[in-house]
Amino acid sequence: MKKPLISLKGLNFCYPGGFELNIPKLSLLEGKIYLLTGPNGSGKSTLLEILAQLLPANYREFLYRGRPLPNSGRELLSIRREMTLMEQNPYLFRTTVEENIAYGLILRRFEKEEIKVRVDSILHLLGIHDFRDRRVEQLSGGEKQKVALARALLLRPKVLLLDEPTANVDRASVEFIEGKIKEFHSERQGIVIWATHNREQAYRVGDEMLSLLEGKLVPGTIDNLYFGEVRQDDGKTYFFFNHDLKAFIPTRDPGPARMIIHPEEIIVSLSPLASSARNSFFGRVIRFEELGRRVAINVDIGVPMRAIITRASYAELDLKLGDMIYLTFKATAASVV
Amino acid sequence: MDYILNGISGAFYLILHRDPELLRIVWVSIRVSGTALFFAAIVGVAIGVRVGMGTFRGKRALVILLNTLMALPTVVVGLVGYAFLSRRGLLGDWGLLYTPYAMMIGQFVLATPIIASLSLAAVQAMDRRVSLTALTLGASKRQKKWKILTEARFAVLAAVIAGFGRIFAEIGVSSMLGGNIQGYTRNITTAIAYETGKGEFALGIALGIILLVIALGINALLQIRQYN
Repeated sequence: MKKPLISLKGLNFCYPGGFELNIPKLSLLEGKIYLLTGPNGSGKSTLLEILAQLLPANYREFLYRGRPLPNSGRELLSIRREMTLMEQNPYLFRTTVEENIAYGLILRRFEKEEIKVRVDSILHLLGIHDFRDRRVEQLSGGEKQKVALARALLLRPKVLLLDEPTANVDRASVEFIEGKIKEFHSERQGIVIWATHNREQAYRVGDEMLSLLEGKLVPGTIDNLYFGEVRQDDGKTYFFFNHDLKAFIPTRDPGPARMIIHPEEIIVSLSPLASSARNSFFGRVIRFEELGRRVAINVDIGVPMRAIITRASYAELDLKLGDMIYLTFKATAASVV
Repeated sequence: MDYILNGISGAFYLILHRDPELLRIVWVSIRVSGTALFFAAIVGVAIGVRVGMGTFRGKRALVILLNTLMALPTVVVGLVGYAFLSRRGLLGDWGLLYTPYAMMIGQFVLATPIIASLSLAAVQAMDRRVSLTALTLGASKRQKKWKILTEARFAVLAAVIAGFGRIFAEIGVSSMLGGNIQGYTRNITTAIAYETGKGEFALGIALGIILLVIALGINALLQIRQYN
């Protein structure tokens, strides 16, 4: 079994305004692309900055390559130089594209000739060699994104952290950037942690999903996130949501709560399932989304609920928009927080 | 009105014919203010950057002090300088009073808080992402600070030019510590006051024109540099 490249325990960070990031445990393995999802304000950017050693946080343990992170000094700088964060709205220095891209290598005291060769190579790889001498003020949003990406990839980091790298670009550029990052990852085999709002992208690009909600990691994704209340009914524990819906959940304390159901834990059927699963909802198919080898189905059960099935299952069921279907899941598939 | 017009025409005559006395006075100004500005820029920018980027106890009080010192009256600096540099003062034995060096010291004291305060503001106004970007690309703390400074270069340069403006046109320090000695410590501002008092408007106007041209020229150069 692969050892984690990064291993965190007891991470805690608070902003003065009250937001708290609290992650009891997180292990990140070499060779994987992690997709970090979550609504705005859930702590994605904060987590990325902490991992990049840009934001000091409290933790019980932070291991990199199996060793505790040093507090300061050359060793910490050396580790920091193995990680690069590309921010959502990247800052480009007030100079030319070439000088921006070369900055990291200049810091590392590379020879001028080598810097020139590497910069040339990355400019050609990303199709921006015509921009070399342009000042950054003359670039469009998409072009700036490519320059920022070139600047990050040029350093060949072991840990590449990306905060919505395709947020401000057109569709063609999205596919281009995704392709280049995947190419880089397959060569470097480090870790890529990619924060995104785009669910399709998350399923398309990532090996594993990390979902953040209000500063906490939650299991699965937050596609099916419902606000409601836990109550007892007939001696059993239910989660009541959307006025008249209820889901059977494992025993917990009553009160306001949120329920999350992983879309891949939901079984789709045309007729009621006879099984041990205690929750079954009936609704109309309102949307399909292609996710590579899988298909996401959005169903209106009174509120939207999303299930993900394989292409083969989708073809067998022969579903169409407007079809009435059953969504079934076990009580244990519902995470209540 | 005639005396003003005569003064103006006389001024242009002096400028166009490169009057030696005029040139000596201008040179004293450039030498004294240039030297004071050089050292004030080094110290002021260093203080501004250190305080602007640092987090320490008493930072707020220090910022308030620097902002207050920006408004130091030139005659107060002249007075304090005189107290120290006169024969009866602590540094009287150094024999600096009524020399260009005393003027340089006084103008250094005037310019440094302005440059420090404005540099501090320039650095604090920098986008937080400059620091994060430099660090994530592998900058050490020192390299990060240098990057912030270079990104804020135009604002810092403007701070230095503001310092220059303060001292090039001041008269309090120059007259109290320099003594307005012809060919030695008589600079543009003391000469204008002196010559106007004598009724020599031509030289006064000529010096005024040169002072304004120099100030305009330096600001224009900054604008052109920023635009480019």
